[in-house]
Amino acid sequence: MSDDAELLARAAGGDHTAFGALVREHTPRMYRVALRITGSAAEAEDVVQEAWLAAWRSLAGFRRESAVSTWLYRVVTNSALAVLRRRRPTVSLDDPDPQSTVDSALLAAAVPGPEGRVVRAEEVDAVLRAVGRLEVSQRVPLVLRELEGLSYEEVAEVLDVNVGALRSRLHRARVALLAELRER
Amino acid sequence: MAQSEDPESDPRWDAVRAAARRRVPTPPGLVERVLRAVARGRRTAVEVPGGAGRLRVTEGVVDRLARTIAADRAPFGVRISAVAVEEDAVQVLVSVRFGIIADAAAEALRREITAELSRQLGVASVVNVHVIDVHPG
Repeated sequence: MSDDAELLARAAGGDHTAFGALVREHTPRMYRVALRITGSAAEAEDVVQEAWLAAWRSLAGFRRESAVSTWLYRVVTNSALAVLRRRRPTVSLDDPDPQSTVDSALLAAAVPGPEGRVVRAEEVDAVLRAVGRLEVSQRVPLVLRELEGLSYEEVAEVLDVNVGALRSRLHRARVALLAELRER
Repeated sequence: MAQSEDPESDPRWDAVRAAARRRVPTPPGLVERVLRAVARGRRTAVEVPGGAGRLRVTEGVVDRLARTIAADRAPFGVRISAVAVEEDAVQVLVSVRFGIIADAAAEALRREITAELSRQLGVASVVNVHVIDVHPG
């Protein structure tokens, strides 16, 4: 049994310390996913809190054939989707620019791409804004696969779809994202 | 069109790979807020007496209700910073836009949340609104 699975089993038995250890380990990843799906730091924080409450309530229903991290990806993705569904159609003038909540200040001015091409911070900002403009059905698998680096099988499990359908949806998402980037 | 058939071979895709490498810092205190929220989710905040027994509502539910009501009813220029159930009351922390009369805006929001919480829970709740910051217009 993995460390996470052992912690989860203890948490399901009422061990609050074990649950706290899971929260400490997985919250950064869950916040990152929530932020990339919602594009809003405030909503991402709510998503993470609701996801952990949902996880706590469903500890007993955890299927042991899933990795704990995959299960938590599913929980936080579902919470983020619920927030997007509840989102009011208007945008408050008080809301900050969602992308300014991502750590532009902490990012080095330029990061090298795999082929050595220098990618400027503004290009990364443009990608994240473009991801935020994608349809939710394309944005979510793209975040999980391209930004989080999950395998096709893991993304399919998180979204409860088959791998073939996921590959098609991801291809459309990549094409749509590239089209958005070309327009800039 | 070759480029649209294989987006990952487009030079622009380097920026997507760079986006994946960008670090996203976790907001300070988020883990502690999560743990407090889960603990609140287990604690009873409100007991509503009834003829056939008592209805118990956890702090997590009251917190969620108050958070939703606050976001929905916040007047123009008032931004909700945090909502928590502490010291047997709903505590709402807000920031007001520069130029807004802070105490009037806070009192209007307090009345709205109090009335709606009482309507939904069936019992009166104590709501405190704290103005903790001013943001530019």
